[in-house]
Amino acid sequence: MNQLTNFMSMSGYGQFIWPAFGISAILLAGILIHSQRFLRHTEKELHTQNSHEIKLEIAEDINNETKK
Amino acid sequence: MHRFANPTRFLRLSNMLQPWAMAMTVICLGVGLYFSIFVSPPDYQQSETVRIMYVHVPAAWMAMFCYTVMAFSSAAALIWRHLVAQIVAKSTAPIGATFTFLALATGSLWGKPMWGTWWVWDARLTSVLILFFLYLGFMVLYDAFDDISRGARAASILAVVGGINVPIIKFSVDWWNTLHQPASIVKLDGPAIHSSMLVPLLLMAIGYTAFYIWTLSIRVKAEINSSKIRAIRIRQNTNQRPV
Repeated sequence: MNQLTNFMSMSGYGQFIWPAFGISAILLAGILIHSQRFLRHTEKELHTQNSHEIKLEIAEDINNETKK
Repeated sequence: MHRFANPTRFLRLSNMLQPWAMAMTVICLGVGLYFSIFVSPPDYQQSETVRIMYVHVPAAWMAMFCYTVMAFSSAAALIWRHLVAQIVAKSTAPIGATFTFLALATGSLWGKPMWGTWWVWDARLTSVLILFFLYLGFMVLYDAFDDISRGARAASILAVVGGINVPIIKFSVDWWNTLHQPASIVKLDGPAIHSSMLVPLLLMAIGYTAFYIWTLSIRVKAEINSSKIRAIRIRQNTNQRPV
């Protein structure tokens, strides 16, 4: 336990060292998660748009068929 | 380079790179952090605080590297109207801004115990703060216009003009008096740092670079999707005019 406290205190500089590592980890993880969410959002949107497009095309085809 | 102006080809390249970049990030940052925290020795002057270097210096390098990428791809987008160059610039901005913020924040946490202050208005710190605002300005300008291409153009011009700040940051520690130490790694006569500190530093730097490539490939894919979505919407709007 003492060893861990010693290690965490980093000769008294732990209060500066750990936040530096912590903020780096949090912000890098943050931008990565944000990017992945952004990608997933566009993929979903593209999927619905595409299926909507296909429906429109089918509807147009049926329309053309009935006109003949 | 012109081969990669084609989004499909660029996507194929980035899909190929992505798992490698991911693996490099995990391995280099894992081993690098272990060395930074447990193995590397405390500095004879700075004691344990030197460990902040392992997250501060790579973040500062990436802040400048990302800006350089953003400025060159913005120039390519302005000159040749490459869609991919435009997307790379746009996707790099938030990642570069994150690195810049980290360089400032970790630098501040290092400055307090070593310099006795969180912040000084000297050339190095001020020019990096300007870099951060250039990134923010780029992102704000990009979305400031209804017409996306106008926003992209304005932001690209800002990125190119702001490029002058990168050499100013690099040489600020030589040109002006500052509390910040001068370069000790990227020097003509080789790095002035012991391998027990250089190895973890380089591992962290490679890890940060791989992280950038990984995150960039995700954002580029998302931006290409967004431009496809916009194109579909425009087509739908023109198709759905009342007959």
